Amino acid sequence: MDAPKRTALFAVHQKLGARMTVFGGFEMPVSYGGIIAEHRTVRSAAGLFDLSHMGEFEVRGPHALELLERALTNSAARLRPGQAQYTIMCAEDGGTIDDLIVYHRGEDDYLLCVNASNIAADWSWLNEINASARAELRDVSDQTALVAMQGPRTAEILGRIADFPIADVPRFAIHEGRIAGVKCLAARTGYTGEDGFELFTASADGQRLFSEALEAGKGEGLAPCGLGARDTLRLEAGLPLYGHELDRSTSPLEAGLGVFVKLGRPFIGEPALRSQRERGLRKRLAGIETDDARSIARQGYKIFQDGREAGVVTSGTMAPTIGRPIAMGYLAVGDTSRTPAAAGMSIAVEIRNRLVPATIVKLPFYRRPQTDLPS
Amino acid sequence: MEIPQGLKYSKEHEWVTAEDSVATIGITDHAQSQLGEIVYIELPAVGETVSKDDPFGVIESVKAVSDIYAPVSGTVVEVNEDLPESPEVVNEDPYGDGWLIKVKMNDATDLDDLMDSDEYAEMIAREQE
Repeated sequence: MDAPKRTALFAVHQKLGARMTVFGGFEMPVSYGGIIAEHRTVRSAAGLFDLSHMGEFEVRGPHALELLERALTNSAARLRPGQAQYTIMCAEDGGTIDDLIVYHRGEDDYLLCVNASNIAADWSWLNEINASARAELRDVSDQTALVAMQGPRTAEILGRIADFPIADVPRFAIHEGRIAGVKCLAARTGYTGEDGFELFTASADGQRLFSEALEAGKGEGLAPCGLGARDTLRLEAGLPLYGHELDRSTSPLEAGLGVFVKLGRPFIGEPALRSQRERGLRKRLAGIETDDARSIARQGYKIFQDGREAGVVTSGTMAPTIGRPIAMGYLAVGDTSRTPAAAGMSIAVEIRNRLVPATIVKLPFYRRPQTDLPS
Repeated sequence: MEIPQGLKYSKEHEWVTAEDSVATIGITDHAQSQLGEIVYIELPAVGETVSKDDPFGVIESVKAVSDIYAPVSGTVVEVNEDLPESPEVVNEDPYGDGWLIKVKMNDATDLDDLMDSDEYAEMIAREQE
């Protein structure tokens, strides 16, 4: 096993006293003060994350769109320059290779942001497909720092240090400009269930961007946040994490991501996914709450229904905003019925050799209060 | 990292203090700090027996599940009833209000196998090298 890589912000994390862990092959901060406090800061004010472990690929040239249309389940052809889109990359059998975001920067110019743990697999897969598509592909992961600010006060804080009206950037749109004097691609995207921005910049400028953004948000309560809070935040928001809710043996339809799968286009995995949609799914992702509001159903724990093993938990934690444990997991769809796991249905989760009663609930667990965002 | 003198320590990061034949057991400051925010604790009931070096309970932080090991053998005579509602007390006061259980020891010589504060401090230092 190779030694873990470090992001351009490693020294900043050390200075801030972060507790570190290895994630996706990178030495990353789990938390600076405490996961629960950081989680609450993102819900109530704003949090600042180093996401430089994530991978970035440039896709350019007259064949760029052709490659994306072939490789991805959502239709990149629907994007106008300046727009972003959540999408999935599938294998021929409909299994998930990765979930990612496509940013349309300009004519024949796209940026893909992929999971750190999948950089190598995605890169080789894309290059294989590209043998016929001939787009210009470039892996810029090592040269790119990614800093995310998430939470209701984000636009206000960044508005003070951006050289463009960042509050006017619509959700899932991008704008290229300077923030704290640093050249950035600012995208109104995120993974926390809150409003926020993800800022792509050159690795060499990452430290300056992070430190100046942190300073700018002091008055609003902005705090550095680690991957621990990122995980509890995304779980409350019902967002899938690759390696948990998504993997090679799980299709985006099973993961409840059908809205990001545009069938009837010739992308890889389309026939398999079309057949799944027509014949019914083998399993469905569901939200789970333990009835005692105390026991935590964690990844790998078995799910039982009517006394029979019916599935497995993929993620679970104590949810700070909701104040009780929450989990997501897959439930087999019975042979006799194609109805997906319905909210209110009783199940049980095996926790340390004990069957703990639990209930299927609707996802997401948390939805942010409505605000007047430009759209 | 606080390692009070006068307590006994186990390799699994529990502390013990004994009065007559009753041992009070908790987890160390180092252990709570490594775990992070504790959100759930499962402890045996009064009257159950615990065996030296076997797990007797479970502590969950936001990120992970960990067993708690018995540093001595005996019968549980008291359980900290505040912990199910307020598990964070173990983070805040691991050697005081965050104690876990009291055990009537079968054999007080179990204590002789445990470390004193200096030996425990040395062990942690070695682990962190």
